[in-house]
Amino acid sequence: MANIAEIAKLVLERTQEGRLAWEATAGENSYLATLGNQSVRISRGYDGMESNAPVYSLSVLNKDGLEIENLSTPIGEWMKALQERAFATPIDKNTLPMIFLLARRRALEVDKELDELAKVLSAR
Amino acid sequence: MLEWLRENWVNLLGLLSFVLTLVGLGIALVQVRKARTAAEAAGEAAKATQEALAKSLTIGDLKNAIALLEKVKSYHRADKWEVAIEWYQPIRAVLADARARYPGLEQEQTRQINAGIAQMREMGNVVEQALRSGQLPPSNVGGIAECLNSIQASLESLVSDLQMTQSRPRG
Repeated sequence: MANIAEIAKLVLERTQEGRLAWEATAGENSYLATLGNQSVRISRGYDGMESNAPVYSLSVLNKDGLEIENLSTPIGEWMKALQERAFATPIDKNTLPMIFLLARRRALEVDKELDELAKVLSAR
Repeated sequence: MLEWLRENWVNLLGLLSFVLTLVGLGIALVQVRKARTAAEAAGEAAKATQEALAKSLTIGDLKNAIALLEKVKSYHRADKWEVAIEWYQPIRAVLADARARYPGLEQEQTRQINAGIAQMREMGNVVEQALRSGQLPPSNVGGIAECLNSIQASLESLVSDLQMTQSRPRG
């Protein structure tokens, strides 16, 4: 039986391969990829603590857009241990930030925009 | 010859009766086959009609969703967020109907509808949160407008795809 931690790994792999069509959403810093009957959403928020550290969150939505599962970057070691125990899968702390970074680049077509800009700059 | 006929007329009648039975059986088989072909054709025609009807209902739903999105856009432009948010759920419901009505939707077409539903729910969450916190308009107004346009464009392309194949049997 698959769990959200395994899904996160697969999402990262497919995103790195460029096989997920990420789209921007109405939410700031939130990107969505729909695959068949499910969608995955990656978003970045802040923990609101003194350091205001970023918190990344990966959600799985059903065909009606309802969130059915969620994985967030752990705030503190205790939460990391709890998650790993719950999912019986070691979670790389870089997985969600990497997904976010790549999803954002894909949704905003960053590479294409930079290529265009480079052409314009070179022609000047 | 007459003598031979007189002696064998019973056998001849038997033979004739056998031949007639075979012919009758042949005719009956042809009739059964014709009837089956006609029934099959009628069944196929009924199925095709049902499918065409389902497809046209889905197209109708999608056009309805596009019109509602247009309405939502005008509410957003007029800063009527409380009114706009009332339409998010009906749009999702219309899209869910469109998805359910026509089982012949291709995987990518279903995905497009599901993406629209998911995006509408995201939008609902964002606007709801902004309403609750009294921070209107939401900070990401540009992103919301872009998102609505993107859903609308995707649904319009889906309608166009479905209309193109409307007269063409699926297969």
